Amino acid sequence: MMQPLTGDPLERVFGSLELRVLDALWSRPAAATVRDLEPDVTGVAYTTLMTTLDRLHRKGVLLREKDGRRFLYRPRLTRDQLLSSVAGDALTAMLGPRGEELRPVVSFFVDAVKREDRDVLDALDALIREHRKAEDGR
Amino acid sequence: MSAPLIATLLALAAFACGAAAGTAVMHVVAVLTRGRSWAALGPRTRAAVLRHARFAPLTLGLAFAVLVQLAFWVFEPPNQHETSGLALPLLGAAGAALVGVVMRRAWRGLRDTRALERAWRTSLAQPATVPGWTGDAWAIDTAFPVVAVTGVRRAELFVSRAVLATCTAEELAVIAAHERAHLAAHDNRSRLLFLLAPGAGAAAAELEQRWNDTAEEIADLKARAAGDGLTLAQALTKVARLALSPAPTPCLASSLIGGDTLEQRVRRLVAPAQPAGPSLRTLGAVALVPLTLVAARALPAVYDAAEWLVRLGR
Repeated sequence: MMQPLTGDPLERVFGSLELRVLDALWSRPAAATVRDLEPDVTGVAYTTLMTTLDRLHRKGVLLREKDGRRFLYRPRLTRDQLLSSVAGDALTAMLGPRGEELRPVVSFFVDAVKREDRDVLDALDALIREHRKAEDGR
Repeated sequence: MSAPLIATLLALAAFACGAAAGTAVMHVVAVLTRGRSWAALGPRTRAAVLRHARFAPLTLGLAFAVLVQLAFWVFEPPNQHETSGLALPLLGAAGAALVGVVMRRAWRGLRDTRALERAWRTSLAQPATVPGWTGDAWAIDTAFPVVAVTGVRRAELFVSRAVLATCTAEELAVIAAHERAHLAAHDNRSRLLFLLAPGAGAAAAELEQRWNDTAEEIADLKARAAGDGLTLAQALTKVARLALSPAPTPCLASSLIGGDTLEQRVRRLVAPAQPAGPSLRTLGAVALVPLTLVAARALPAVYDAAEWLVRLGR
C-alpha cells in the first residue's frame, strides 16, 4: 500500500526551530535582522535565534549581508525551490562524484546524458521525424 | 576442534575458493564477450550470459559451500574431534571477510535506495496516474528528469513532474511499458544480487554496465512490442532534453556516465525490430540435472579434499 504523505516534508531535513525561522523569513517581503524576527518566533531567546540564523546561513539556506553593525538575513530559495533542491542534492550525492561507490537498486529510464549530447539529440529527433514521415506516407 | 566449528570453517573456506573460481570465470567471460560475433546474439541471450557471469563468484561460492557441507556431514564419522592446521582457519577467515564485505555492500545498496526514495518523497511527492502503470506511482519535483522504478519485492514508479508535463499520454504509456518490462525481468533483483556477488574491479564493473545496457535494450524491445518504437524513441529524446535544460543541478547532469547508450537506443528503436533471442532459462534448468549428478558422484572426492584442508599446516 502506498504510504500517505503527512506533515511538512522539510521537517525531515530541518529542525522545528529552523523551520519556524525559515517560515518567518518567507512571510516577509524583505531581508530581516534577528531583532525583526523576534516577534514572529516567540518563546525563543535572542541568542538562540541568532545561532539558528547563523546555522542556516552556514548550511547555505540563508543569504546574509552586513548592514552597519547588524546582519540582514533572507532565504536563498523560495519554499518550493528549497524542497526541490533538497531532493536534487540527495540525488546528486547519490549519483554524483561520490556516487560511484553508491549503487541504489533502481531502474532508470534515462540515466546517461552529457551536455555535449545536445547535437546528438537534434540529429536523433530529425531521424525520428524522418521515420515518422515515412511511416505516415505508407 | 568440534565438528560444527570445522563444518562452519569448511563452509566459509569453500565459499572463498568458489568465489575465487567464479571470479576467474567472470574475467574469462568478460574477455570472450567483447568480440563482434557476440553482438550478433539476441539481447536476451547476451543479458543471461552477462548476468550469470557476474553472478559466478556468488553461485560457485555457494555451490562449493553446500557441496563441502554435504560431503562433511555424510562422510565425517560421528563425535569426531580433530585438530586443524593453519590453512583452514585462514581460509575460513577469508571466507567470513568476503561474506561480510558483500553483505555490507548489499545493505548499503538497499540503504542508498531508501535514501533516494526518501529524498524523492520529500520533493513534494504526490500520487500520480501514469497511463499503463497499475502499481504505485509518484509525481516528484526534481531537477533531473527522473523516471525510475525502485524496489525488489514491491515496485514503485517515480516520475519527475517535468516528464509528466512534457510527454504525451502515448509517450507515458510506452515509458510505463518499458518500466513494466524491467519489473517482469526482475532487473532490480539482479542489481541486488550483483551487490551480493563477490568480485570488484574492472571486470565486474564492465559486466554490470554491459548487462545494464542490454537490460535497457530488452525493456525497449518489450515496450516497442506493446506500443510503438518511434513513440518510445521520441520519449527518450524528450526526457534526455529535459536533463540538458538550464534548470537541472549542473554537477548531476555532467557527472553522469555514458552518453552513447541513449543514441544507440534511439537508433535501434527507429530501425526494424530484431528478435530478442532465447533467454537460456530452459538451458540452465536442463543443465542443472547433469550438474547435480556429477556433484553427487564427486562427494567422496570433495570430502577427501576437505580432510586434506583440515590437516594442511598442522
